[in-house]
Amino acid sequence: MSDLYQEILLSELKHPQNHGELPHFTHSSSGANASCGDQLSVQLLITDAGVIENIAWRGAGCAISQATMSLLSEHIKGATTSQVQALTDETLSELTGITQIAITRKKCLMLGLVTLREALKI
Amino acid sequence: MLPPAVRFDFPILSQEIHGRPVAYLDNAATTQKPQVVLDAITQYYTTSNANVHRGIHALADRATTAWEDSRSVIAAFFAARPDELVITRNTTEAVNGVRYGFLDHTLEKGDVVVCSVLDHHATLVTLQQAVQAAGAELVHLDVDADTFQVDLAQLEGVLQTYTERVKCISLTHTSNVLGSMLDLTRLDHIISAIYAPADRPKVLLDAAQSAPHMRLDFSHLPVDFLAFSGHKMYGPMGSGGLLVKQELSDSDQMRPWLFGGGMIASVSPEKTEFSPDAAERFTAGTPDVASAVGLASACQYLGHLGLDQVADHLSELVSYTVDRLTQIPRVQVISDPHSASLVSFLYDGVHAHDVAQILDSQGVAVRSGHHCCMPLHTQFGWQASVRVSFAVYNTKEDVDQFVAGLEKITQVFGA
Ligand SMILES: Cc1ncc(COP(=O)(O)O)c(C=O)c1O
Repeated sequence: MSDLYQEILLSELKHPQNHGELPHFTHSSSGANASCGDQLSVQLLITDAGVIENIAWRGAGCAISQATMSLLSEHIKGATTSQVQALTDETLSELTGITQIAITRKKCLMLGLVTLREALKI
Repeated sequence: MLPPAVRFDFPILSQEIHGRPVAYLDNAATTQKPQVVLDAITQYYTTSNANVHRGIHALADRATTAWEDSRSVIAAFFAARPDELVITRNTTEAVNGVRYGFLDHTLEKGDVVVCSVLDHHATLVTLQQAVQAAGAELVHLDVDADTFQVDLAQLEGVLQTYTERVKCISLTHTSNVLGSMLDLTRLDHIISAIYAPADRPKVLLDAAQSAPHMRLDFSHLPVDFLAFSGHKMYGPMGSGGLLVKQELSDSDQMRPWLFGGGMIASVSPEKTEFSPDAAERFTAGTPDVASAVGLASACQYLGHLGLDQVADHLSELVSYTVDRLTQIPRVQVISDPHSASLVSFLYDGVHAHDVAQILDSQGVAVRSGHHCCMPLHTQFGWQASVRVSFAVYNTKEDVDQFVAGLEKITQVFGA
């Protein structure tokens, strides 16, 4: 728990980045963790060159899932879709500062990335 | 209340979690196991293990005796006959037995099965499968938000409307989220007023949350099936059972749903005659004797403590907890304040998982989520809730440690 609820996540929760909806978007998807009820939906505006020009998300759920999505959304703005596809667990650890997470919470941490990858599939 | 020394019967509770004595308050999910249960299992494997009913040798005799004796003890715990007991891995498997052994060849197109909005997925999902396969219909009784009770007046209406089309009524004895208790006497009155004894729809009772602390007299309960989880009543993981009234299990309405060795009377290459003994007919293959031995030992342990004392103990912990929680402004208790064994709540502005995670850091184990009751959570508009549930080894100190843990949430998330 020591590094789970640090300042960075809590401030992210209070002031989520890119929260809301986009007037125009090219890709979207929603994800949920059935066992706990965390939900996220993302909208992406991707250029023909495959660059993520804009992103917005909405969701409901625990601090970990929502704060991670917020950090992730800011992180991928301006990136290419292949860069996003290359993101790993380690990226999430670096972004959030969470280095250790219980097996039952791992899916909370991963939900944002899983939902983003889903959006890019389409 | 039970003596605090009960805690010492449970070796797992002597350890510290995150530097604190563990306050295990997730007992509705599964209870811890007392040393006597662990010893009974070890004893079985160290002195008596062999396959049952199959060998003519001393160890096979001992194993068979252990199996039969355990079945008798477990059945007696529920005031049932040994041949009314089918040993299963848990409540879920017991309910699936009702589906495959009864519903699948009973339900016809247009028939009705009644359940309620507060049911656990163990019954709900299984019944959905059964009605879908048959082209039958599942009717969900509502739950009253003020009394936490399933709407039995609505049941009366449903039974009057569909009368002979209703083949099964499946209800939860004690809700694992609301803690409320089904009024079985009233249920029986309603059914009796509408049906002649021979025409009554069969009643399935999910007793997963009542069996651990209530004297259940199957011979007098107005139900045909009763499902329970041994692992929620101090028995080993992978132990549970289905009780089936003898008239029903001996009739053609109840058929074996698992086939193989041990359940037969005679076998020819083309066909098989099943054992006339219900205890054998519903047990295909080698049973988990050690788990049955462990569960029998757990029943004896509970009998030794006294179920009335157990019930008093739990209900005192519930009222103590409700009193403490109502003093915390951001906490909203959502369960029946007179529940027998548990308290569920919401913490304003903080997700249930985060509440549970922070409590864990304080050595307190609680459950968070939808507790396998998604329809109930959706109906009441709860995304997720937190539940504390009690067992014989819990004390008011555990509750104090839990309430102190809640204060930590304000520290982390701000007021
Ligand atoms: C009311 C109720 N029914 C059924 C179950 C399912 O029990 P099991 O997982 O042991 O099959 C549970 C517990 O999880 C429960 O609380």
